[in-house]
Amino acid sequence: MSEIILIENLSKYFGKGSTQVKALDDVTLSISEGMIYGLLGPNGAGKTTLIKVLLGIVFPTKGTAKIFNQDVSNYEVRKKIGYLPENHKFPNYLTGEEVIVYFSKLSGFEINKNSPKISEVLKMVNMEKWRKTK
Amino acid sequence: MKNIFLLFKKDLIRFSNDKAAVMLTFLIPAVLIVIFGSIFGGGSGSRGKIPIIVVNDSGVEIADFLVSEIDSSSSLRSVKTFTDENGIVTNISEEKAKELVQNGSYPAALVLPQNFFSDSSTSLNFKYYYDPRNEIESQLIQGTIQKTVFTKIPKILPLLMQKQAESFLGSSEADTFKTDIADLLSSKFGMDKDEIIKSMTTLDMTQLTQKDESDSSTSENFDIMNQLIKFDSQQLVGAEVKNPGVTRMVGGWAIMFLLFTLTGTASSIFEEKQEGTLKRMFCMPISRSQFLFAKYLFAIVLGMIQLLVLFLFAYFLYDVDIFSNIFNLVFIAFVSASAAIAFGMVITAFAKSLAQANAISTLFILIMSALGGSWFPVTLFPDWMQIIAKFTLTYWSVEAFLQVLWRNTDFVSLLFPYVTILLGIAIAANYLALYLFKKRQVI
Repeated sequence: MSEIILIENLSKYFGKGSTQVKALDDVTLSISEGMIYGLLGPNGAGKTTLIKVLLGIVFPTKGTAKIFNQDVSNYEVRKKIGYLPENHKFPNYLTGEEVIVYFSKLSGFEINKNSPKISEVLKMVNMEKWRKTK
Repeated sequence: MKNIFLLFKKDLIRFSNDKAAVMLTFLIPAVLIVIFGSIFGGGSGSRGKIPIIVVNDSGVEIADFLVSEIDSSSSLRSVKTFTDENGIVTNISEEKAKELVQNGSYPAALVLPQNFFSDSSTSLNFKYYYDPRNEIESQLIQGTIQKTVFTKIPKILPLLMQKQAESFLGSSEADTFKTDIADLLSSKFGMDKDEIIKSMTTLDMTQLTQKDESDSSTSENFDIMNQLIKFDSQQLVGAEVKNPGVTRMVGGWAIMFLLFTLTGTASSIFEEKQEGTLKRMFCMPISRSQFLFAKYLFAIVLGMIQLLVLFLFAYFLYDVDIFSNIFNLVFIAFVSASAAIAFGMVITAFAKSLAQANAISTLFILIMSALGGSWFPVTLFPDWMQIIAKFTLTYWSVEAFLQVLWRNTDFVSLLFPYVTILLGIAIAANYLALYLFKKRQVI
């Protein structure tokens, strides 16, 4: 099986000097296609930081991280990734259907407000009544 | 009472920990007081001298004396020579003076022509060429010249009045009048009749330049003075401008509000961070450069629309002519918006929070607006402040808008220095912002 996620000697430090925090220190990890991988650890262990590095939200201090054999700095790779961040919020100036259209288009999907796919996904999560609500 | 004290202490600690609030409360007023004080004479520096071209073609002694008095004026800096592109220094002629005022090199030129004064003159005749793009400056120049004449050669005024009386009464009537006066003074006060007649008819420079203790420049004397000291004024620039007052100030206010709007647009990155939508955005397949470019594009479009609305208001309400040079106006608006958003990005990249970004931007925008000429003409500032003014983007934007609206300058003439400097500021600030964004991982 091919490796979907490949992390080698990855470190991420926040701050400098005596107040420096080593969120990730020399992490090496590979996850193969088809695997379901659970990332567990105590508060402050670096789970979120690792995910953020994989998504390019934060930059690593050293080491490499690849997804689908492409470096995570290549934003195109995120087209194949679904991620629900913690404390996630939608823009409050968009209606339910506008949020779906907006983020779908950013992900490269051709979709508009009249697309039946919108009803389909809203129905799936029982949120049809919020379709026109900001 | 104890609770009130504890709550008071809480507010005090809260306030002192909020660097942005402290900065807005104390630093901004302090800096603005220094700027206002320096301009209006109460501060550490004296007001800068306004440059004015002085051309003396008269060849009379009184004109030389007057020019030397203008040279030593505390308000004016007289300019008499011009250095051409080959480095050759030549005296400025009347024609050259007109050209230099017309192209904006100097705000005014005072010419003492061949007919400035002679034995038969009934007035002092000046030629005054000016570009009233700064109203305060223009009034200061004219007021200073009149004051110099009134206070430095006050004795010329009675002499000129006599000459006017002579031209009104005729020569023989005037002579009879002088003789009668001399007879009267001689008989009543024992004065020498010949000396009295001589003093009324001959020009003595020593007497003319003797300072009169009485104030000759009081308002009741003013109309008479204007008869005796004639300014042949010719406005060389902006004469066709329909509403000079608003036309002068609209560019200054435009760039100030543009800076507030676009800095706010740039610092909205912090709001998106706080809302949690920025993180969501970066989970999507978009690059940071795409995000920033979209921000720039939006800011520039917003800035252009804001300026369009502002100038349309000026057009409909105050008859400011925005259409005769519309292409250049739009171009300068674009360049100014580019520089303004780049400035906003630097502030955003430098700040650690939205509150800090707002405080820093307010501080810099108000200082740049005051220094750069949005509120007052820069030429009223002390010399050191005029040098600092040239390091602000507001100065170059205000000057560029004035060139378009007041002087109707063509596109090529705008390119250097105005557009070059504004675009240079935009490019340098963008580079700095991108460097800081990356280094500090703001986004």
